Amino acid sequence: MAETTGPSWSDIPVDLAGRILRHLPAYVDRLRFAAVCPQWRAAARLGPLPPPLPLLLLSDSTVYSLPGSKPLHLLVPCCCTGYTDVCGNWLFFSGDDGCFLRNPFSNTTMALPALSLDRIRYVGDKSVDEFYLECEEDGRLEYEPDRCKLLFCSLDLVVAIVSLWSGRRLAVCKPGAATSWWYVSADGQYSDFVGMTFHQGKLYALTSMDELFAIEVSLDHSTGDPWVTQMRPVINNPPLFIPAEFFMETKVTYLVEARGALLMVLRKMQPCYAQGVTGIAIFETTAGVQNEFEVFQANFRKSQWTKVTTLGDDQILFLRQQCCESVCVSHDEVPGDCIFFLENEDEDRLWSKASSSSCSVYSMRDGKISTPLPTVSWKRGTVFATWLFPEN
Amino acid sequence: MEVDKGKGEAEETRKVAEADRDTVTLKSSDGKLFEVSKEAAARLSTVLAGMIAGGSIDDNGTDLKQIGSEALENVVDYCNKHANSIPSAALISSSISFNTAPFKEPEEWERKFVDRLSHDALFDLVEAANFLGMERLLDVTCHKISEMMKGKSPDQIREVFNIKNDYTKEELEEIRQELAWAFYDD
Repeated sequence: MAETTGPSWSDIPVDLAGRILRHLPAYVDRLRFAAVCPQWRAAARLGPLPPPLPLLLLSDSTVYSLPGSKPLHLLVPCCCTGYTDVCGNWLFFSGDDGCFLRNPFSNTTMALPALSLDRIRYVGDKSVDEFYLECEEDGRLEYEPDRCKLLFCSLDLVVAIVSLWSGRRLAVCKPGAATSWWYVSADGQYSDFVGMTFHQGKLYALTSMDELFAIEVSLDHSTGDPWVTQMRPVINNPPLFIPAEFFMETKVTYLVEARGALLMVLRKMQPCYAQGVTGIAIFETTAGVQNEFEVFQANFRKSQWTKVTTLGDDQILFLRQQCCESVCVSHDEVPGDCIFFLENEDEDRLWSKASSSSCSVYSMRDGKISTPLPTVSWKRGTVFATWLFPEN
Repeated sequence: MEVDKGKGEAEETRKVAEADRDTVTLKSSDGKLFEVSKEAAARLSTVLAGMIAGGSIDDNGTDLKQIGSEALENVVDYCNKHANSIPSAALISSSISFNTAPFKEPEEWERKFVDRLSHDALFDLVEAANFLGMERLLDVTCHKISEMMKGKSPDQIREVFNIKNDYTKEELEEIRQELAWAFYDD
């Protein structure tokens, strides 16, 4: 009865601390937990823990640690402000003094050659691309690469999809120096690539026609320069969905590996019409875009996409062009079997004049779309949003 | 306090024929006796299930020297409430897969059960549940503790749990770096 001091929470057994951590899916809560006292810090480092939920990062350095919707301010905002693209956890910056990637978790940077015609070399037998190459030499038709999508592979390899006059092509480079080259594959048939990802250690790329290619990349022994040695069609059936342009329909496809399977997420978008508004003004005034999702799994044996109706109760997909990831959840905070995506992320849509963007979630269970962070939105076009996937 | 049996009552209980008994008597570190449904104890606690199966249950009160009377009372209370609140069919399946099944939200009564506890009582209960291998009770208590932390700064968490900040200067600097992600925008 003579209890003057209660039990000490700092001495809570390590396995119990780990259990408590499992109930904290937000990355920021886990960091704070580890900052409370040395004992908790040690417990937080022991693991193994299910991965935390990703962070939603805006290019003005605002961060949201899901499932929370409180804006967090970065202590070192300069490490994130102004990125223009992202590959995995690497933010892409391009400026006058070249391009580089920065990992905001480790604050390490890596130089890249500029994505300009000056630093692009075509490789291959040129059979199909002679025409384009001639154009390039003339300097008439091939223009500076437009928007690109990057995939960080290793310290020896960064793969990009670069939008050239001759189509969206794969380019590979060895990171680390601004003086290295982007090697663009000019081989084979014309392919318009829209996404890529790793699946069981191999690189796969998806085309706008829903074709899947297995990509082999080799490194030059002496220089370490990479080049694409093979693009082998794995699935080349007719496209699963062709948008009806008359109805302003569009589609975006995402390639993502989840639970050992290679998935293609098909997102169909259609503008919502406001009643009583006619003509092109509809698109100016209507912010609403109707999203529909379908998920397909690559069936390598049959060389086809097989529709799947569930991702699994503990799986969440986080979509952003070139930054898709599946996260396994084992907590009650966020229901699984759903797809997080960003509204109005694609600037190419002529009709999508919505001025703000936000984060939404599509449930595979009932097909409903909800807003997990109702108070969070950002200016479309000027602010670039992405997911970051912190490790434990 | 209806579960807290006096010594005399426990003696009486002992007289009930072994096979017919559907309760077990547990003894806290401070010598208090508690009776709990055998079925519920075996279902909710891997340690008690092992003791019951292995015949190491003492009719005079199985000694649980690591658990104080207040915590043991809560454990017993939880077991009895659990036994009454959920159809057993659902529980059988949940007990088989308790290690892999994702955590299910505490039910209303479980929430109330942990909400009424003081911080100290919660601490003792979570340790008792850990000692007895009570997965569900551990989940419910750890969930409650995590709720007390969410969205709070390390300072606020220390205040809630009465923890002293005994980091060294170097450690604090390292943490400050890590928490570059964790400062609120005010």
